[in-house]
Amino acid sequence: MSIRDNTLAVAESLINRAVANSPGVAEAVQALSGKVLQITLTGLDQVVYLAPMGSRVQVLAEAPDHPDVKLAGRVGEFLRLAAAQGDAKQAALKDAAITIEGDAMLAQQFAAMMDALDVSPEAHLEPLLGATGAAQVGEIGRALFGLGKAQASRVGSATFAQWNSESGAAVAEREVGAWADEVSQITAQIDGLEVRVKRFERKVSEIPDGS
Amino acid sequence: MSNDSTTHFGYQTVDAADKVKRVGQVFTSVAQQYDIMNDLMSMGVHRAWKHFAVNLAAVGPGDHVLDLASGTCDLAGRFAKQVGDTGHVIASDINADMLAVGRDRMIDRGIVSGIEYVLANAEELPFDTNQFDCVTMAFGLRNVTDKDAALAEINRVTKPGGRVLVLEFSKPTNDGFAKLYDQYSFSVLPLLGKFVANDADSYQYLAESIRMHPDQDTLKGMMENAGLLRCQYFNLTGGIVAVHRGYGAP
Repeated sequence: MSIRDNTLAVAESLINRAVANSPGVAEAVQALSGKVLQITLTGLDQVVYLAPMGSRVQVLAEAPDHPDVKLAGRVGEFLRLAAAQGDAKQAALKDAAITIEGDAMLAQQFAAMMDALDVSPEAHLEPLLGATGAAQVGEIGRALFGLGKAQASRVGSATFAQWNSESGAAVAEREVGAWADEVSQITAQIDGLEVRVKRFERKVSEIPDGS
Repeated sequence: MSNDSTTHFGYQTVDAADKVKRVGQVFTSVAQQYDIMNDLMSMGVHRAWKHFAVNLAAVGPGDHVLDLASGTCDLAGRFAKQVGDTGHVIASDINADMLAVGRDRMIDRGIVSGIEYVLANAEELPFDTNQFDCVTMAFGLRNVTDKDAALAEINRVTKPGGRVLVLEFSKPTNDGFAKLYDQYSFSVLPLLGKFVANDADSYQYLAESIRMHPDQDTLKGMMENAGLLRCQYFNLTGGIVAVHRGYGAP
């Protein structure tokens, strides 16, 4: 088996693991069963075929049947398409930078199916990177490839929260700054309060006895 | 098969009915030492081959999986974890001793639910048509007397679009490597069998049966003839082993 075949087999395994673990996606794949999507990466001169069969997806170097739809573009354009969310994805799909030949609706169905995948590489990465590292790389990977609609928007806050919880005492500079500002304000208010208390005490002491 | 009544048992030509009995004796003889011998013979690489096959099978929660020639349940155990509470795995083997070792092994690992054990001949499967999302057979097909009948049965019980995976020894793709592999198979394997399992003959049969097994393209053609769709194979370790995959026809 060539390196390319190995790479495609690994990619297929990852996609199908995600299909198996993403609610509803297996049904979406089933609906596309028998269809063939050809992806041509023009910059790399590579052609890959996605061919749903039953409830799983084949990733092939050679077309099993005549492709129903062909997408062609540079890697960057496909990444941009993958990273696009919601309506922006459809707009990106219509962008002239990726040429579509054949059934455009089918291309959108493929894109929606890939979009719904909940890719979870954490289980594979955890032995190598530990739980924290695996979680962060998983989140970043999802955001980069746009797999899972909620993932990209979650990545910033999730990573920051992860760092905070793991780093314990280590606090971000901007948080320290805000806290220091609050301390200064409270100190100034206490100083003012002390002055007013002293003035009040002085006035009380100036009141004649028996008045 | 060679013709209607004879078949190969290693390099020997025997009556088809006799092969079942002889293969049964081989696996009854090696059942208790099967795992340790696999590790020794393959230098542990058989775990990577099985891992690759399991990943290609892409079994998920709720799937119904049949693992044929399940032996010591290496694959079935992994599938049992993947199918979850809603799925189901059947570990099947023609040899009661192997199946007993596999069942005990699963119990020792705490895998007791979602898995059943069925003593069955792959040529006549006691299951309904279109019953399984995935059917696997690891290192078993070469021991089957009528491989075409077994593949037809596998196709029958697989759901339309379901996956069929056959992990089996095959033909090295490089001639130089093939000669080294031959030396290893016919010199080292029987010796290992003699000293570890006290059974050189069974491991001589193993080496011979591998040579008599159809090569990658022939097996792919047999799977297509059985009705499976989109058949392809993946060579592992220079073709010593190949994973063939096909899909159940609608």
